[in-house]
Amino acid sequence: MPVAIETENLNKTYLLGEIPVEVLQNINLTIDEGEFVTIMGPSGSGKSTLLYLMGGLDQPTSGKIRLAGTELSGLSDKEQSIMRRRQVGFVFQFYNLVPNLTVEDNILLPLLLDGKKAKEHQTRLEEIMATVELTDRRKHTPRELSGGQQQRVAIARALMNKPDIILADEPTGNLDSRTTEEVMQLLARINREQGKTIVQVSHSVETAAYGNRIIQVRDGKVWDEHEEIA
Amino acid sequence: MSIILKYILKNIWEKKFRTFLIVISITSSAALFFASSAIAGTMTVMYENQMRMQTGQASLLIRADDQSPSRMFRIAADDVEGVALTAGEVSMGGLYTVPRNGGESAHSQTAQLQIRGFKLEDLEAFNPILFQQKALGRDFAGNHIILSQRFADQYGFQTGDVIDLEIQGSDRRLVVWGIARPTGIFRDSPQAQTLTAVVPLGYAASLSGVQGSVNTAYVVLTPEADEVQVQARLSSIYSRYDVSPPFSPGDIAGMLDTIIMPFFLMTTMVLFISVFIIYSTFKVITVERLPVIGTFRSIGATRKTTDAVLLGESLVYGVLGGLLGLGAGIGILYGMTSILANDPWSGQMDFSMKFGPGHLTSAFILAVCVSVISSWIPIARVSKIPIKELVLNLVDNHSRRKTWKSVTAVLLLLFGTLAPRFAPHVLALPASALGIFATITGVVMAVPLLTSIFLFFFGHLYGLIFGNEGILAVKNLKDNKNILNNITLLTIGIAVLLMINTISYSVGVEVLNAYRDWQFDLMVSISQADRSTEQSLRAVPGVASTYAAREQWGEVTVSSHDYPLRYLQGIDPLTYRNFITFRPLDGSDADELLAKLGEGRYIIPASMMQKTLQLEVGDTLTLEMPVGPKEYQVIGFYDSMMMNGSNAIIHQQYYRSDMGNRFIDNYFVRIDKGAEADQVLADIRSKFQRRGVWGQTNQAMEDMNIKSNNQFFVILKGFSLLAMVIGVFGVFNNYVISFIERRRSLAIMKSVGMSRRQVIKMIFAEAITGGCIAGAVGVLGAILMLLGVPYLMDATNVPIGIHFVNSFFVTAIQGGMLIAVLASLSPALKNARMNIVEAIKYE
Repeated sequence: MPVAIETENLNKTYLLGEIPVEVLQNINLTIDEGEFVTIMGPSGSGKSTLLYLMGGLDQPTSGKIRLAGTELSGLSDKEQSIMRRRQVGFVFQFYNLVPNLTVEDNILLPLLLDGKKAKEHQTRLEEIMATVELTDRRKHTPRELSGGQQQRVAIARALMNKPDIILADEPTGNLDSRTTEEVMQLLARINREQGKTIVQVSHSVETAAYGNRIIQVRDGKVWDEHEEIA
Repeated sequence: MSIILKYILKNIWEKKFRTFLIVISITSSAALFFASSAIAGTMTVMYENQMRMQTGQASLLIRADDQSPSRMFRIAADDVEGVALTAGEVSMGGLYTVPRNGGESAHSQTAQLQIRGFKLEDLEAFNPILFQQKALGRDFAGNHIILSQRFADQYGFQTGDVIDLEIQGSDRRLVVWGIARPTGIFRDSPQAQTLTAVVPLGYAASLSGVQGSVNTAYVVLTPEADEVQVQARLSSIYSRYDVSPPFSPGDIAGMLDTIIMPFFLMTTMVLFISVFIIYSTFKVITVERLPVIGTFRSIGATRKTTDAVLLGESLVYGVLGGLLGLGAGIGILYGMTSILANDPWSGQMDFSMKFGPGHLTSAFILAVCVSVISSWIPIARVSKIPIKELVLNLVDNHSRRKTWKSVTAVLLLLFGTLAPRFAPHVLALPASALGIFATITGVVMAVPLLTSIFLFFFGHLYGLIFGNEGILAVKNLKDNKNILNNITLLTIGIAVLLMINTISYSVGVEVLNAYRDWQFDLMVSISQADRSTEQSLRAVPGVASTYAAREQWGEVTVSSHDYPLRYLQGIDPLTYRNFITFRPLDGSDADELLAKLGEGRYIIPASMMQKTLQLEVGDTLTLEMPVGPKEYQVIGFYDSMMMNGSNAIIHQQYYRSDMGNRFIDNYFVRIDKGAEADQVLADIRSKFQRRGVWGQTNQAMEDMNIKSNNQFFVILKGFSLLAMVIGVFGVFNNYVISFIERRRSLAIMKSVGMSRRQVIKMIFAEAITGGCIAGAVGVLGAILMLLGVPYLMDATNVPIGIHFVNSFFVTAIQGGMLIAVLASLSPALKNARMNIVEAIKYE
């Protein structure tokens, strides 16, 4: 299988006041296309940082990250932005929708930033709305939606530009169990039916069960990797 | 308590720019309020001092009036209780011929003197002379003369020198006894053509042939005297003469009203901006403090305590702004006074600021009230939030679109437009002032609605101009409260600045128009002029034609309507229109109307007088004329803004008989084509110098009027500029707040692929649009307010037509855009470089 994401001796150090804190140390990972990987670990282990580095939202202190063979550290701000629009879709724990934009506008955002005309992509919009079952809520603003609905909007936004990779940071961390199940089923369906590579960060073993591999991170290092048997 | 105080002070210290903004708004409001309220007292003292220069300690003057048997009178010998001194004066004109220097000049150069005879000890007692030089060991007697320093410097005189003067047609040789500094009766205005000189009273009386008589007596009262009683007693002694104070406080108050009212109007506007800034800033402060308030409440603090913490903060701002405002106010008062003291008509006046504890206290209280009251609504709103919501951060900060605001805005705009137009005459002033205030309030409240309308019509253009970033900018503009606040602040600033500039320009145009009605080049007044004088005047080279004007530039009381008519002309219908543009109202025929004047005691009031007195054709006006009250019937009206429209025309025949004046007051002179007005005027002065002549070119009078208006407007423009500066500070602060609040939204956009360039482009499009809307709404606000201004000015008897200047409007819109772009520059660059993860994870 072709490689979707690859990290090589990845290190990330933060300064806490004047004290350097090594959040990630020598991370070497390979995620193949079409995989549904869950990164697990205790709070402060560095799992979210790893996810953000993979998506180019943050820069590593040292080491390399390659997305579909392209190394991120060599890209300019513009190239990284284009990569985030076209190759990666993010889903966050707190949804991170733009509050003053409607559901429809939020979903269209990556497309608009890519300089495309919204009118020319109505079919795609309808298709995605139907996938996340939000067609009747298209003119609502995020604050008029439930948590589960907001997360579905975030997923729809992540899918809009047909990226190959979906990166999700605790996508169900803020949802109840019934909604958690709905969202995870949706992600699993996208992975299964559309062949998208999904990398999620999660505390929950139940949600990890929707994927096919678990990476355990502890104290900034990969502790364990194993296949999840659903 | 000390912990709370420490907490308040720490908050204030941590947010320095915000503290600066709030304090500067309060400081400006307090300072302008202080200056506006203290300027009346200061100006009154200034005018009084100016008038006192001539009359010194004298509380009453005795002078001949039109009813007096002679211009001279004897000072009564009997003692009057309460009178400390009665000092007599005999005055006359004098002419000094400057010795020729090489005989180059065709005409002898001359200087006119007002020679005033006093007993020196009397003059020293009620209006002391400040000598620069003085003869020692010699009494001031005989042919001694005291010259002004200006005259002495100009013509090179020293004490002991001999000066030859022509007085009452005879050549006299006098000895310079002293040189006086320019104060007291020697305070001649810089424009004065006649300078003051003092001679002994006895010498002056002998020159005039009126030994024992005087033409003015200055009465100084004892400290315990009752002025009214003494005036009554003296009036009975000098029964056929005028006994009155040198000036009436009512006259000064009336004169100052028109100056002070606009200052207060501007102060209100600045206050309005300050209230808006404090209100909007406290909305942000309260939202920021929600978690801390929650913590306070959860550990047992009552609502009163948390309210006190927030109100305490606003109180500190108020106290700080109030104290600084008093200092700044004194500075502004000094600046305003020094500008107004340089009066082009009466020269530079001495000034000292006059204010008391009342002014200081009221400005300080205003500062504290503005701060506390403006912050109260956001504080009260937070106070109502339940503890659970505060602790769990469940407060919804989103403000919903409020329809009532749009409805109120429309109602206010309607009121602002209609009230001044349809208010009954007695309510015209409050209605038009309230109307202007309602208009600006309505415009401010309508900003969200007007922004939506603007974006509805022009929003699609943004996609074409700025691409998809433009479309996102339009979506942000629709709902972002801070951007709307920015637009509002800019709107108020631009509207106020535009209004003042347009009024200032309009006054200039009106002055020009008023002088353009004068179809002549010179106005000349010659002492005791009659028809033969006019013949001599016409013989002066360069004079093309003349009009003998019988006119009263002063008060004629219309007793039937209790109205002071400030300019009455007795005209010659046959020639009047050759010299003055006459525009009758209601389509009347000019010649017919003027011709009818000669058929009886008929009067044509100017349109402003018609409006003020609500006159109709056929009404009767009783004019208090020197020969007694006379009834004139109104036969029409005409358009004239001379003396602010307080003027009227009657026929010269009735003017002469009713005013009891056989002499001609002024001549309007038209000069030959190609002739120089200044040269012709110089020739006229030269020809009539021995008779006493005053003259001015039309252009010079127009220039003085414009200069006088400019002095006033320079202060008003300063006020409006200050309003704009505070508004701009507010906009800068709001942009910073706006981007702090939008940090997360921008980070989200960056997380889904927005590049730095795109962030800057979107913010740039928002700023340009916001500035453009603010400019356009500001222009709208200014136009709506300006439409009400003529009614306000009419109500204060200072009529003015508003002349709009398109270039002002274009500049306003450009200025709005520039300010918005500059204000967003720094936050836009900061946000473009932000750490996405930090911003996204921030909750």
